Amino acid sequence: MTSAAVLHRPYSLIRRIAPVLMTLFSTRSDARSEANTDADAALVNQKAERFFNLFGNSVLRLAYSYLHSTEDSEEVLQETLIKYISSAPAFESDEHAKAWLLRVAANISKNRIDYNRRRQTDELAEELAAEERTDLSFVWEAVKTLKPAQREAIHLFYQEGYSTKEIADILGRNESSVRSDLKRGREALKTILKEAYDFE
Amino acid sequence: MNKYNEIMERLTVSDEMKKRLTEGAGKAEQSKGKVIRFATVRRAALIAACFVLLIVGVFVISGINANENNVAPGGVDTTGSIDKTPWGSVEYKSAAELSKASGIEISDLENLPFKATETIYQDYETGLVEITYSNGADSLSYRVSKGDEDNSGDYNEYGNVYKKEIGGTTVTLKGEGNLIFCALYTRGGYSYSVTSTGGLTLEQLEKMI
Repeated sequence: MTSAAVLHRPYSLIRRIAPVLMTLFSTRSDARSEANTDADAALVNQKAERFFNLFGNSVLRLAYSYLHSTEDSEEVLQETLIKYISSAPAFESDEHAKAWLLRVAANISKNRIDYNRRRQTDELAEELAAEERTDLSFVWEAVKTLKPAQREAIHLFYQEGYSTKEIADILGRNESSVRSDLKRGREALKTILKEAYDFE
Repeated sequence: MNKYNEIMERLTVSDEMKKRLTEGAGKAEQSKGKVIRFATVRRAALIAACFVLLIVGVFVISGINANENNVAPGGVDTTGSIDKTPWGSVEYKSAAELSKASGIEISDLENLPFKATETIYQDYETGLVEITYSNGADSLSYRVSKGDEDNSGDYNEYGNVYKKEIGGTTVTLKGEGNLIFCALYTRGGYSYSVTSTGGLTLEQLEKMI
């Protein structure tokens, strides 16, 4: 076939280069043994179990503090788990691993905030309302009014017990900025909650 | 445990969720190892091309809209002078505007310890006004309110708390070592505070107030 003919029949060209591209994109042999697949699955299960037991709730709660949606938080948890399995560095300790995971989860969550704003879901708020826990609903609604940077500082400080230095390290921010956000978050909460304020 | 912790304790990873997400992670791992068929590559390329066109289109349209509506690319309306913050305070463009709107006299601090890249003039509408200077790393807040109460909002406990006469006014200084993080004083029936995230030397503070 001449080159002109190839140009007039682009799919012929595609068929010719397809095997080459398929080889380039192949990262594993098609004949990979079933035994290896089983071993991989066992490793994934093992890593996932450790992830959920040690860090699952912390990651889920951090994600929810940004997104206010169970569905979105679960997706963040899923993405964080996949990163933990596929690309986590060697950790010095569980604390080191937790800090890395919270940073990953925070970044994924922040990328989803704008998208989530259109969803208008907050199962936690609905649950508190259904139980008529007005005291908790009041606090939750107040926290939701904070700016994301203030919310993450409040969450990591009060829920996870990190210092401002540790929060700055986790989020890759300046400690003075974190202190400032924590301060402003507290002030805003104090203004809204008045006697119900208990973030001391 | 405070109420926030009590709220958060309600969020837990259930066994059903663990199972579902572990399966999802397993599938994601498996897909990494599979051969990517050419049809998939071609489809991905078409989708990518569509996205490029879409993004370019969005940028062009949003640019046109921004120009038409005097809205900056970040979404900030540049025609108005005020902006309501999420917790109800109102931002102004200058100390003069803030003073005029709030009825509380406040002017910019001079001799700041850093070059401010952002200045926020804010009325909390509770008899408290504030100017915040920031350079991206450090920020400094200057507050004025009626009365003589501490309006700093700084609830940290500092190791070094003392009083000092500055310009004929007794100023309460709070900090660690040689650095001052919070300064409080009253003058003419108003309460003033200066708080700094990075800390100030006494000399720097004396030049400002």
